[in-house]
Amino acid sequence: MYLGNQIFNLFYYFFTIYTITVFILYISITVVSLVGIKQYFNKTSFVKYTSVLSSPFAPSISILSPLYNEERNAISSIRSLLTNHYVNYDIVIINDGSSDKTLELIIEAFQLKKVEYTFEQKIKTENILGIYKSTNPAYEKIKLINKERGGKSDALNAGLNISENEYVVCVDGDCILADDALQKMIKPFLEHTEKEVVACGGVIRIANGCKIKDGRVIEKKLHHSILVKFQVLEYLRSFLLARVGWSKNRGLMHIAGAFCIFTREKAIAVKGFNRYTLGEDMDIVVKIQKFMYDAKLKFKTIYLPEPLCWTEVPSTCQSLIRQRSRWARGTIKTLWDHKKMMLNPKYGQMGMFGYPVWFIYERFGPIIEIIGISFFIVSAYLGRVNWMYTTSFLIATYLFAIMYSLFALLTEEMTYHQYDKKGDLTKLILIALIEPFTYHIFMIYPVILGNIQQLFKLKNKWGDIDRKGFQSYKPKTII
Amino acid sequence: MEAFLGHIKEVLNFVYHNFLNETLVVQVVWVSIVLFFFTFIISLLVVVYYKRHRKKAKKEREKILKIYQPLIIKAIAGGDKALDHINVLSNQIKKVKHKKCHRNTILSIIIKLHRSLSDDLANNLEQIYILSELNKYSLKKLKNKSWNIKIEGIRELSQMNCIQSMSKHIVKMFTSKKEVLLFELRLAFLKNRGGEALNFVNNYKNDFNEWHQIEFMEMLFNLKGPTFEYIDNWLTSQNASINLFALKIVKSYSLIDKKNQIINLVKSKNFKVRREAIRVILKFKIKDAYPALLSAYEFNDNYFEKRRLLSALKTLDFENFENYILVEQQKLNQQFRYKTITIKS
Repeated sequence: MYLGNQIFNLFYYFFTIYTITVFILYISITVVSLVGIKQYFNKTSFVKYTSVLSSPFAPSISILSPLYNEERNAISSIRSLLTNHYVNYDIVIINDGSSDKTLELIIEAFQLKKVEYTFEQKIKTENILGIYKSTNPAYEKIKLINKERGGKSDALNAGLNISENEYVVCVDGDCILADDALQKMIKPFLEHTEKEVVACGGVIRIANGCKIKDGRVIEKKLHHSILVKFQVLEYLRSFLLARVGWSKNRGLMHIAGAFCIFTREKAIAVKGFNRYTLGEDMDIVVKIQKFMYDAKLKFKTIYLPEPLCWTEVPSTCQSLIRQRSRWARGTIKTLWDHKKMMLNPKYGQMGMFGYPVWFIYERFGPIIEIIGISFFIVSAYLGRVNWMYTTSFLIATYLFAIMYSLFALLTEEMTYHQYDKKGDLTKLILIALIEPFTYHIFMIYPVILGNIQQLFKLKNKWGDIDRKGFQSYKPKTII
Repeated sequence: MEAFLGHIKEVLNFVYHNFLNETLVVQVVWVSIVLFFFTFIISLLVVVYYKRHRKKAKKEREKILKIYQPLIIKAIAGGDKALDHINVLSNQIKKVKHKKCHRNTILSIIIKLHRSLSDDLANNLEQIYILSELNKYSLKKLKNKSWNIKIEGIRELSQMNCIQSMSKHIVKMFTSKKEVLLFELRLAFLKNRGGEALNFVNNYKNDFNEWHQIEFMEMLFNLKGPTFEYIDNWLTSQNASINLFALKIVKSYSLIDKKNQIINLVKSKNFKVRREAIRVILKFKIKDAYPALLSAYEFNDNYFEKRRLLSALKTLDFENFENYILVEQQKLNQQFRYKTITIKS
């Protein structure tokens, strides 16, 4: 009986300490993020981005866009890349062995023709079947690589081999870039000289429900699906509050692969994207930073709080589960591959702070939560729940969760206020109120699934997200 | 060892009895609950208030824009009666300038129009800016504690060609440690005084970052016939960022007489300077650079740089060195045979 008591107490203490540290961690990251956002606003309030646009000295950028079975979104996504205001850039589209009509549609839409092309294969990839360029000068910026299926990382590596520009921007095939995304992303690389900027990311917003015309988001709207609304709130919290804070703390482990920019030299120096992980974006960010620490070079990774990219998120439970279990597996694999960094002072704040926090709260967070729920059920069954203690903790956790979500909404409202339609804010506040005991609990499942899949090496595929395609803009006919 | 373990046990006991005491923890949690609840309510109120306030301000801005934009355009394009219109409008603006929203919106209309206009129309806008005393608000910004507000003030005054009026504040601002602010001042001077304002480059020891270089080049493009008295010093400077800036000037203003200094930069330790020097050589087809490029090619190990150098040699003088170039090209391809893939249609 005494041992049983001891075990129960141990669990109680563990969850108490864990919850309190979560509160402290999130509050501190939020404070750092808010400071970072304020500084960014001060710094950019007077900037004339137009000077870098027309300048013949603007650095060259290659946009790498890997596509696999993206026949619904491919054309609008490429058009969005073409409408960018930046001048000195080219677009490398990589068709990664699509089994649908992606390749044919792109060839037809942009009048592409197979050409002879020589390049240095710095990173080994699957066979390249052909390289295409447009016969139409309007599309001269486009290069299309058709290759055998090798996964997203392999496709990006093929793009890295073929691109010749100083900087590479990785954009998912289902993404729409803001017109000024490139000049805003390139700025940190040009203005930081004492420390080399090796990677930069920007805020990603959800395009489901938005109206798209000629590759531009022309009307920003919240999607009617509750699942998408949950994700809108989640993205706001994650990108506005967390990532900026992590980047300021020099503990940034992840830049969303949907839209990020690297120096090509550094991406190649770390042998490109890892083919054997599902979290290639996290892996390359960690690898590049590790490389810089190993080489004792001063560097920075930067996260801009600006909404620069719009993407389509899963709108069905099934595809969301697939996506999140894949993300979980990617995180597990990357953390395992770079375990040397854990609490290693050689890797600075990233090793001493970023890695351990990701390891405990991102890797094991959902597992701890599920253990907590199970512990509560067992305790209730045995009649050993300390109701006062448990209830107070549940209320505190719930209030903290909604307070954190509201902070994200407040930050969004005070900065970019993208969801500006009547009722949008009310809907998001309501979502914040129900999210902790609905979506949050539901999201534990794919993470546990990802853990099981990774543990038993069940499958190592990306899994398809059923794309609905962007809602295209249809002008009203006036008779 | 035993003493150490005993000490740890003591510490754990202390933590257990003092901090993990259930009642204490529950009390702390309830205090947190109250805190979280009030923070939640306050955040909620702030969000709602902010949204309403923002929408109201947006509507007001739109209203002011609708009223003043046509008035300003009418006044500056008034032909013979422009002066009268300007005086009337300036008095009208004077009456509302104390309202922040009015002031900011009118100022933004004037600045935006000034950017796209020139000659008489731009002069008329400057008149409105001064007569309506909006310049005083720009000057006031220079006294602000925030450096970004100071920069806004500098930008406004510089755009409206009122740089002289800020002479009182300049000395103080030049003592600032904020590089961005200093560069903004230098940019404003460049606009006002031309190439002379670039003298700071002579003794500049820090890194002249690429973003600022691009901004300076853009400003230079807007000047009429700027002169670069010290360009020789910049091309031979030990500061690679200054070399880069000088090369940009050489390239943009076709200063071909500086070819010897440009050729010397092919040997620079800095990769970016070497690359830019090759670009300049190619742009002006400086055949005298052949020996320097050849020597750089032979002593370089980097594939990309070798390829760039060989391509430069080929462009400069293919006729006389055809054999050498073809042999080297073949060697280069063989050297990278295993790495290079050729796709044939």
